[in-house]
Amino acid sequence: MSKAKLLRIHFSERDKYRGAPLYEAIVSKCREMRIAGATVFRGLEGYGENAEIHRRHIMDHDQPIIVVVVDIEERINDLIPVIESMMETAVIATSEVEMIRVQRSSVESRK
Amino acid sequence: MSDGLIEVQDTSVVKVGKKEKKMDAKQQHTEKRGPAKMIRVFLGEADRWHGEPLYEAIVKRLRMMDVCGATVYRGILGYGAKGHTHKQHFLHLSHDLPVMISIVESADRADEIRNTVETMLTDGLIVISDVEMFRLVRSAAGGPDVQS
Repeated sequence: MSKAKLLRIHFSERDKYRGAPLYEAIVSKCREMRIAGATVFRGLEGYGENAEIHRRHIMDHDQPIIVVVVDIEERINDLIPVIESMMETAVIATSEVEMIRVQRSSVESRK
Repeated sequence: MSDGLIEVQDTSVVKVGKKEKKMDAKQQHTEKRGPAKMIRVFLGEADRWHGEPLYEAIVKRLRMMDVCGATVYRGILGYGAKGHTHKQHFLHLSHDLPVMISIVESADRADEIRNTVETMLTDGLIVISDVEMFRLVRSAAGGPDVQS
């Protein structure tokens, strides 16, 4: 068990970064920075910066998105300014956690 | 009985199911509050445990242990222990999306839960944080852990 930080970034599915969905851009950036792991979740409904409600529309997806990232404190601290520069408005929250990595499958069986 | 065989076998009761009276909606709830642990387990949707999805097996096991509650979330994109990207493609449905199970239970049971989950997990991440629990129980029996 080791000390780590859990980072949550909340924004809208509609947000883009250089033409691509912001959540995809953030996940690629995390990989590039060799962050242990990142997961994107889509919420059902929510609101944020203004009173506009984010929810599913017929043609357009505007549901709330949460990206969860876990890694050691230093890496998370390095990641935050990078992510901040990629987005306009969002909520970034961190919490102190304990992390246990389980890795049983052999390297060869991993693709 | 005239002819037949009587077999006696040791069995261990894992969980006793009992029917309860339907709860009265106006009944006062009981509260359970105090320091608790939030356990998040990150795994893949395709991970298996004896033929069934691992996330289902974990939730079942937690129910047997009478853990307060667990919720399974399916992510839309992610990567982790296995290193490969889990992603839903537009034309074909991916069945290896990232999955997160979040469990909240009082602090004294966190180790037990962690150990159980750890033995079942092949590749994944367990993240534990301190939280404050505020639980409302309205059913007559008050849930499994009120008497403990």
